[in-house]
Amino acid sequence: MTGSRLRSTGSRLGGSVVTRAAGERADQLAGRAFVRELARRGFPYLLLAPTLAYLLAFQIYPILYNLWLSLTDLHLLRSPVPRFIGLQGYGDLLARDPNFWPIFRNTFVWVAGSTVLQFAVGLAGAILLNSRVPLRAVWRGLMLVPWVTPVVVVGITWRWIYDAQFGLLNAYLRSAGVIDQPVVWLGNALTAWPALLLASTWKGYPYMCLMLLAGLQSIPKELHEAAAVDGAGGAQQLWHITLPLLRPVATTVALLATVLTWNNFQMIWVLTEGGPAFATSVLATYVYTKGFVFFDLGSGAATAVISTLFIIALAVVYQRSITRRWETEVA
Amino acid sequence: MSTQRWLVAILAVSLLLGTIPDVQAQRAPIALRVVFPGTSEPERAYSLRLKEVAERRFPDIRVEMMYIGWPELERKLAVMLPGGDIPDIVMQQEATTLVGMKALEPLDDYLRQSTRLRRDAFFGGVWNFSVYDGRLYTIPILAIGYGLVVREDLLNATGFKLSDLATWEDLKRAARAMTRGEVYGYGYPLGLPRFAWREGPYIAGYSNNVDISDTSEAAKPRYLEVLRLFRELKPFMPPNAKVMGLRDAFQAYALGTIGMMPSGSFFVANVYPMNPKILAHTRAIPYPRGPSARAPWAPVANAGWAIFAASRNKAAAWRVLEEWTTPENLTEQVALINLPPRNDLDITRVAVRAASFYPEAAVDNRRILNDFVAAIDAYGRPMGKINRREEIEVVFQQVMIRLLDGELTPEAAYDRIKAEIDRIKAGR
Repeated sequence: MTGSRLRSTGSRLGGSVVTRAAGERADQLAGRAFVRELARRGFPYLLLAPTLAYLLAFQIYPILYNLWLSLTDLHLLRSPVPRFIGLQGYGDLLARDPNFWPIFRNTFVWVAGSTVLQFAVGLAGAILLNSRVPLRAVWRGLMLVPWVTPVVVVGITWRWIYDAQFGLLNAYLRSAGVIDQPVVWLGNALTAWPALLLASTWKGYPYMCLMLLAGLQSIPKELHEAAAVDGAGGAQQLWHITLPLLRPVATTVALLATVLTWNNFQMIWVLTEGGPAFATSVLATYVYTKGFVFFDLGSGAATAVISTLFIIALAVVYQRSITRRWETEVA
Repeated sequence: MSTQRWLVAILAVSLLLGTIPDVQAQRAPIALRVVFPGTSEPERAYSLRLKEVAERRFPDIRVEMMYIGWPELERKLAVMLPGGDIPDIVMQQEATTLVGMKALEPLDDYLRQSTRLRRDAFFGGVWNFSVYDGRLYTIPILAIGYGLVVREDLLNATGFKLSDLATWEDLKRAARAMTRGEVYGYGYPLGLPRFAWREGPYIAGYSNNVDISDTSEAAKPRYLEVLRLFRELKPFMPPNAKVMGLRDAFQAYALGTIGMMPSGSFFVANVYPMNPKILAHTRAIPYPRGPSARAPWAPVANAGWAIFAASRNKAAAWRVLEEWTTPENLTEQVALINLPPRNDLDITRVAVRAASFYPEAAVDNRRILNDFVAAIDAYGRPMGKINRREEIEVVFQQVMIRLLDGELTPEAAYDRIKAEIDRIKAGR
């Protein structure tokens, strides 16, 4: 009931005291209604507030601050008071920094290599674990060990495996007669990347495998049975049934793996620190080197912005290609 | 009415009691945050003793130790300081970076007013390393000498004696002779920029009268000699030199696969936990002299305590520094690692304490430290302070890798190093 209706009821009753009392009552009720309405509408915002506050404080603000830093010449030793220089920092990085483009290329090698290898090993593992192998539950559990092991522990372990003088890999290869001189796996441009990719694949494939396994289990068995009745072999079933139906899951996990690898700073840092001499640096480690080894925060921020823009662009292209394919299939 | 009075009285007492926490708050101890870079167990134990000493001497001070290893120290401070997370005290070796950031408090005025700390109690060369652009920034707690560490047994087995290692030619011959099977004559931790610079050409350069941050035309011939030396030593370095950090080099030495390596007087503290027995065969000598030098110079640096310029407790921090740098409290630090910075330390007491830290190599530790002391005494020279050293070290490492891989001649390597160092020094 609204205040005006109550007031009109009061006036109909005739007495001024009654009218006033009714008016006050009406105002009270209107106030309560407003509070109730506010509470009803505001409650969702109240629930969202902590998350929004978190996002503003720890995501949005740092991104905007980084963007601003990238437009300054802040260098903790050279120019500790930041001066606005516009896009000059980006220009210096793209046109004059001799390390940037080789590192950019390294980043692609690292991301593409890791994603493809993780996907290939993960898919093989998923198909295997989806079949009726003995002790399947045990294998599934064991497979997760690399994934749940902290990246730093994995990195240190692999560093010891690759150690030229005391490493297991050289020891086994020498005892098998494959090599007679120790190989410096992480110190040679030819071997450093395969070594890093192997470590990255070992760490990352269980996640792929787990997701693809879930995808495989959602494919109706009847389709395979029908195909078998029609005479399709295992390879044909894989190519014409399994892989097409796995595509939505596969593209999602591949996108996730791409983003995660692009930002995977720890593995490379623990294994090589981006060395020797930037040979295994990627954009994530270069941001750190610029900012916290060279203390060039402006240039480090610009590197981070460029890195972010590329990964966003990659994700958009990826997403669009998936959507387009999906729309084509639906059509 | 009587009840009301009681209530008022209770209320008044409650209010009075309520003010007590404020009084306590006013008397709350000063919390000093100290960045301590030593992370080994003995160093950690020593840091706790320092905390205890400070808190016992100054009941109004509480000390909180923050453990950050040397390799990460400057990087972490570079994040903490601009973010407003300012500790009070920090241990520093070369403080060029923090001085350059204007992060440290000049200590000259504090020293002038101090009744407990005197400049003349310290060795001159060690003290001078704490002075940057004429201002004092750290109070030395250790002297650090650099030289060449040698496996004397391996050297003798090749027919050389320690006294034979006088020149670079001797060094190359000995390295060649010591390289046998799994053992390599010369260790060079090229894998990390800091050590690719210092535990290599920088120390060697001193013994050829050249500071390798000097790219002047006058220094060029001596600089080239240094680069040629490392090129010629390459066949006697372990195959993984390119990925070795200093810890890896110490490990290799401790395992007996390196015959000689440049190192500082912190050598024992690092190698002892890995293999104390190797110290029985270890000697330290000044780095042999190069063709352009008459004497084998040994760089001398120090480690010291500094106060952050933005600390809110500078007066309290200074009081603690005065206490920590007394001869009594420095004895343990010196016994644990490195050489004394003061001339009034009781060396017998230092030796007794050192024996407790290194029980399996007490005599060997003393002999090696005496070697370093003798080298510094005869040939010590203050280590240079280099602005933007971190950047220089990275580009230097890049070039050294290419030089040792045979991709660059020493002349081409020099041109690249010069161009990069000049660019960095020019602030580009």
